[in-house]
Amino acid sequence: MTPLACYLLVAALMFSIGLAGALTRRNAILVLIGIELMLNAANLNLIAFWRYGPHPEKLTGMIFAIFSIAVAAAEAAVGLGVVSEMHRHAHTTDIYAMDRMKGREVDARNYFIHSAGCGLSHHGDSVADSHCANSCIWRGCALEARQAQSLCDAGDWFDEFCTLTFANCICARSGGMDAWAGGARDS
Amino acid sequence: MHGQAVRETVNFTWIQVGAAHVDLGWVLDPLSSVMLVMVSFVGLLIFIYSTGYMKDDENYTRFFCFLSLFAGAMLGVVISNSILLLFMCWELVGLTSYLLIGFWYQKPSAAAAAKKAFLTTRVGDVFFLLGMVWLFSQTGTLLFYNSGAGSMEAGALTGLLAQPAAWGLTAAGAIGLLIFAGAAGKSGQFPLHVWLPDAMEGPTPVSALIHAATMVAAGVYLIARVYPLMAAGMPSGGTTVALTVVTWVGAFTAVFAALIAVAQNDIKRILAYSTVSQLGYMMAGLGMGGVAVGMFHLITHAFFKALLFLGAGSVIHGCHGEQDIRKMGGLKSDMVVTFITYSIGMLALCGFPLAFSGFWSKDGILEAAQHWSVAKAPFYMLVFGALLTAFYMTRQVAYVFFGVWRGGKPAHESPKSMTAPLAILAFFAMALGLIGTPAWPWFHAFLDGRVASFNLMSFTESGLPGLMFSSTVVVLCGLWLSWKIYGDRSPRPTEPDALEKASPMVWGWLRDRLYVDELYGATVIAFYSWWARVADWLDRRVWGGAVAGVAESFALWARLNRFLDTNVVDGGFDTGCSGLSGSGGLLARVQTGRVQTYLRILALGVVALVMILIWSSRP
Amino acid sequence: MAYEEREVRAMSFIFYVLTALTVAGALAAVLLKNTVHCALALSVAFTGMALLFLNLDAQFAGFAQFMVYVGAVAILVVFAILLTKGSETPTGGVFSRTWLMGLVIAAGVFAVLGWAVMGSMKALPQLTAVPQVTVLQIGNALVGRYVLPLEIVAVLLTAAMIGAVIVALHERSEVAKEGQK
Repeated sequence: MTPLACYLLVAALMFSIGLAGALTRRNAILVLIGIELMLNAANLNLIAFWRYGPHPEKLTGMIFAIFSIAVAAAEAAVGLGVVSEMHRHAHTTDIYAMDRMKGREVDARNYFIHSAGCGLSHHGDSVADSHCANSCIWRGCALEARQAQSLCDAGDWFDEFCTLTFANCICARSGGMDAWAGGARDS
Repeated sequence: MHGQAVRETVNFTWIQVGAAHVDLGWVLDPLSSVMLVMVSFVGLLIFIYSTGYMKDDENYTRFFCFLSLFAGAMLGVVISNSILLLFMCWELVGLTSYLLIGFWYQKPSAAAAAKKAFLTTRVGDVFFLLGMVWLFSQTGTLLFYNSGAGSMEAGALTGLLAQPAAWGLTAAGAIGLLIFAGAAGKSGQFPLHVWLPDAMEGPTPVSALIHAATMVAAGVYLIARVYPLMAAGMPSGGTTVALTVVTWVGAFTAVFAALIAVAQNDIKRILAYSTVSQLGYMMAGLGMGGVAVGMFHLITHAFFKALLFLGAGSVIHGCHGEQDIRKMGGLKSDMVVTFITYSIGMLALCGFPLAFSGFWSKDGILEAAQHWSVAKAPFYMLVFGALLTAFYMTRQVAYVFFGVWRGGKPAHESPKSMTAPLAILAFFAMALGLIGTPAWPWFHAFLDGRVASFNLMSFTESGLPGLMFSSTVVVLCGLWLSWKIYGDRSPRPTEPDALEKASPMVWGWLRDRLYVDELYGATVIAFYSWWARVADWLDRRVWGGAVAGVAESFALWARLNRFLDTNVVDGGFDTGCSGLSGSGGLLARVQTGRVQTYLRILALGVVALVMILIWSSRP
Repeated sequence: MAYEEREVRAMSFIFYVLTALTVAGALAAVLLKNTVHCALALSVAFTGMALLFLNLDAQFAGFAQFMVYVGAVAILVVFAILLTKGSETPTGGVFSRTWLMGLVIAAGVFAVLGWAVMGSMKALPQLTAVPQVTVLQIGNALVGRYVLPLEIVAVLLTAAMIGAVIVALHERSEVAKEGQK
């Protein structure tokens, strides 16, 4: 068990912990934290190889690690900026709210017709005044939209989510973000 | 025995197949010329008669259409030099006979009679065809006379004589018998006579022309035409097998039909049986005395039988369609011309001596029979037949013209268009006798190509005066006997006939035509119906079933194909497509839109790749 | 083998302590429910890492790590958490419903990495002397051999800064709009 191996194992452990965090946490910021841990583990790897490598006087590992730190910092800055921007729109940092990349099912016709008039997000507003609520009648979401409205009024909502967004009539149910417009159900 | 007659032929090849060729042609010799004259002249008179008789019929045009076709075909038979052409015209004659018998086809009895006539003569025609084909194959030619190469000429005949056939016959004899079978059908010899009486369903002119004068005579003419074949190899003083058969059949028919005629009550039916009987005489005459004897009787019979039929037609017309002689009577004063002409015809038929042609022609036959070397029985049969002929004719005349009128409306005389031909025929019925007397046998000489000489001394030839005397006695006996029984008495229609009272059983047999039709019905017809049913069953079930089976198998195949197409091809394709879209849908579920999912998959992918990398780089 | 026995020596005690610290910090960072606690644990993890660097005689890297990560990134994370109201306790659960799957995958990755390391221990380089690295040397290297990466990183940082400014601008206009309402 060489020291290098030990350090590499530590790095691997850190990396896995960071990956586990990135894969399992629901908050976007925690995903970024996981990513930072992974980057740190990589840095440790670099330094360890520099220390126990054949030519430490070349400083390759060290310089690499420094650059890595710099890049990681920049990336963290940008990433966190994006997260706060996201929060401004969706009023949540739950990554489950960000599934715009999802392949929508058929009935896109209905979907876009209904969402044509709804172009604003309403932060904290009751759903009632928005014609999004009226247009969100696809697949029985109308009921849930009304529910969302009432829940919003009472202030009792979950995950700071109480709005209808542009082209994304989201009807939510307390208990889990698993009822979405378009009948999209999570696996 | 025939001499060197003048003969003109016109032959041509109709079909040529390689070396074989089918020839047709026409011949003009004494035999065909007398037939030509007779057929055209009698035919002319009957055509004139028909214009009056059929005046009120709505199918007047169709009648003359068929009648003209018949006349053309009959003339074709008579002048044909090719046995094939003769057969073709023979068949045409049979066809027009069928069409004319069934002229009033709406009557079931007429339609049935037409069918019976056609089918019965068909039986004879099969044998005729066989004989024809055999003759052609043996002699190699269809022509009768062809400058020495014809089938009736010496070269062919010797060849046929040399060829043995079955049962001790030569080819010549066998072919002759086969051809006689055909003639027997057409000329109503026993046992193929059954159609002739039924043929009286047709209009009277048809009966007169076809079934008295011409068509039935075609059979006799055919025998006369192929006489060289029938007589081939005749030993001197003897006769051939074929001619013997002809004689016996003829003699038997003569007596058989005469017996039946005695007990008939339909005016035309009596005459029909009389025709059958006289045809028997003609055949016997041919067989025993040769062509001239038979042909002379044929010519005279044509005239007086046509006369009798036309007279019967006149009577029927005058009695408003009544045909039962028991419902007539006393017409000698109402229909004078008809009575006189009918009597002349009747006397000619009976063979009343000297003034009537029938006497001379019948005596010619009796003379030949008397001198026949084989047997004497035909002579006695023919004499008995003459007695019967006189008997039944007198009976008929007594019933129809004498006594009192037993019918409904009073009778009237027929128009001139009908009575004029009667008069003309009556004249010839008497005058024709003059050309056939032994004193001046012009007819016989003409046929032989000789010149006849007038010689009264020929009456003194051995046996001739005796024969003439005995035949006269026989005729007068018959006449007197019948007059005695039937005389001026007019029994009512419901009363039984005088003879019937005497012997009801025999009368019954005779009236029922000696049950020949019933015999056929029980045997031939029954078998034929059974066979027709079998054939129908075969056709519907077996052949039809086979066809239906093939069709059904095709339908089955089509259904199978459709099933395969719908379920296997389409279904497979649809399943494939739905599977594709289903799996596509499944795969699309990976696109959750959530980053974590993507990240997880990335991590999995990296793990897999690293493992592969490590594994592959191991030493 | 005597050679290996000579080479194999127990890791120093300080190594284990530092490892424990780092790993504990990392675990806390991913497991805790309160997001702010996570951020603080993250700082601990970063510190641990910096100390590990120091243990590895990479002084410059260690201090750089400390300054940048702990001093900037961790603070940034805290700022972000505060801005997004992450301090509130979430009601829907902090872990995804399929957390086990994620855990398994992470464990798999660790297994593969561990296997790779253990499997190639013979190939790994042996002990070397402690390198004497001066900042001067690092500076020379940066502007000498590695000047290109340096410039690129500079560009990258500039871009990141501009991006952050744009995001902030957007934020301001958003705030302005909401202010009107």
